[in-house]
Amino acid sequence: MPITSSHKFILASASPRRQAMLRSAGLNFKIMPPHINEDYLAGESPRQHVKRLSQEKALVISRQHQDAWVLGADTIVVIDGVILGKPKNRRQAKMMLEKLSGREHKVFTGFTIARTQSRVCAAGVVQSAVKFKTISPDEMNWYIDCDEPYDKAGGYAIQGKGAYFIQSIRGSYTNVIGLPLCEVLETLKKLKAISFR
Amino acid sequence: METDIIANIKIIRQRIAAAAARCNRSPDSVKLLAVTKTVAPHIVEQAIKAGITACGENYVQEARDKITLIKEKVQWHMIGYLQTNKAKYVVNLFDYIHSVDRLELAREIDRRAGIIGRKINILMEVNISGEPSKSGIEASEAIELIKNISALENLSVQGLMTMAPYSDNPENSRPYFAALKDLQQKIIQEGIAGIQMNELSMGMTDDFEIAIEEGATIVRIGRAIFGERNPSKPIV
Repeated sequence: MPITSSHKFILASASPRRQAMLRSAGLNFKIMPPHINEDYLAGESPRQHVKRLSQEKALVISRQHQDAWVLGADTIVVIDGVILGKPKNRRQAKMMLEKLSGREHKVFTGFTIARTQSRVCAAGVVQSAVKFKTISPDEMNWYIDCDEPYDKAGGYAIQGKGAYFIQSIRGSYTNVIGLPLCEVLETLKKLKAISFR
Repeated sequence: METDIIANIKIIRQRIAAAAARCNRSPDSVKLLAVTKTVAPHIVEQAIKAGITACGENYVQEARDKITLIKEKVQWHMIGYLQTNKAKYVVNLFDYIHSVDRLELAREIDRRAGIIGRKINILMEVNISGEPSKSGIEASEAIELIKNISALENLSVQGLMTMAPYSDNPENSRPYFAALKDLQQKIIQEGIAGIQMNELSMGMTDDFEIAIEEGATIVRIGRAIFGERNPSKPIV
């Protein structure tokens, strides 16, 4: 059974993981990745950063498509107060795995639901904690040799081979993939953007 | 919705002009401050495109989020109660602070403004009705406070702000607005060096026309522009 949305629905994100999750929930939507500056602002906390970027993304598209519901999201991985982006090469991918190995880190996703016509811009942040096992050097080389780490914040995919490293999660699993599905759908329902009938 | 905002702003401007004309004032002598608390950033942008040049926010956290998202140029005014520990944020965000009501707060804003090399325009908030639940300095203590603030070199005092007690009859606000005007005149007569006393921020959606008749130079309008507040606050 599909979920019906009250108006056209747009996912303002190029992430294939977010698209797949929303699709699996049964929502029909269009994909329009916005181009925004993703730099950090001075003094911004991880939480503020993902919230702001998700707002920027949703608003860029919402300004152009005023009648549609627009969902924007941004996910980051944080360890020791340092934000890990997407690794650009093997060296960076390895450094990230070394940081994460044997320890717990946090994943933050900010999400924003906007619709200009109904004057809505609702934003939230969801946090999960992920505990990695200790990764041996041969495991590390095996992982950075596949193409999985390179387009993912933190350099691993929980839904792929990276699952091998994960001992436990506290909090939302879908948040770690890049979109906290429960919180997002709950908010959409509260805003009457979607209905399950 | 967008056309509503444009139409609402037009109507408000006409009402401001009419109220100003009743007391032989120029419509340009009254600044329309759009109160944008709880209004989403893209909606604020629509108001700015419709000619709004100044926006008022009540909460520092909300303003921080919103101001970075809004791409249009506009003057920002802080009109809500301000905790002293939030002074470090407001000096970066706002052009005017309407809610300065104690020396401790004024000193902290001054210190923070000095650090970033900015001069901040302030209005002193006066509890003109004397209601115990209201923030603002008591009218009897206003002159002493403003003398103390006048010595702070990174603050530029521009005038006074007040909120009339809630009432369903706008005429009931008139004596409070008149009292703020009286206080302004008293302060001017004191001849305090280093301050301006031109601005009177008073009057909101229900009573701004009365306020203009009593001398308001800034009216703070939210509901008449944006409609009733959307109760669905941002979540999580």
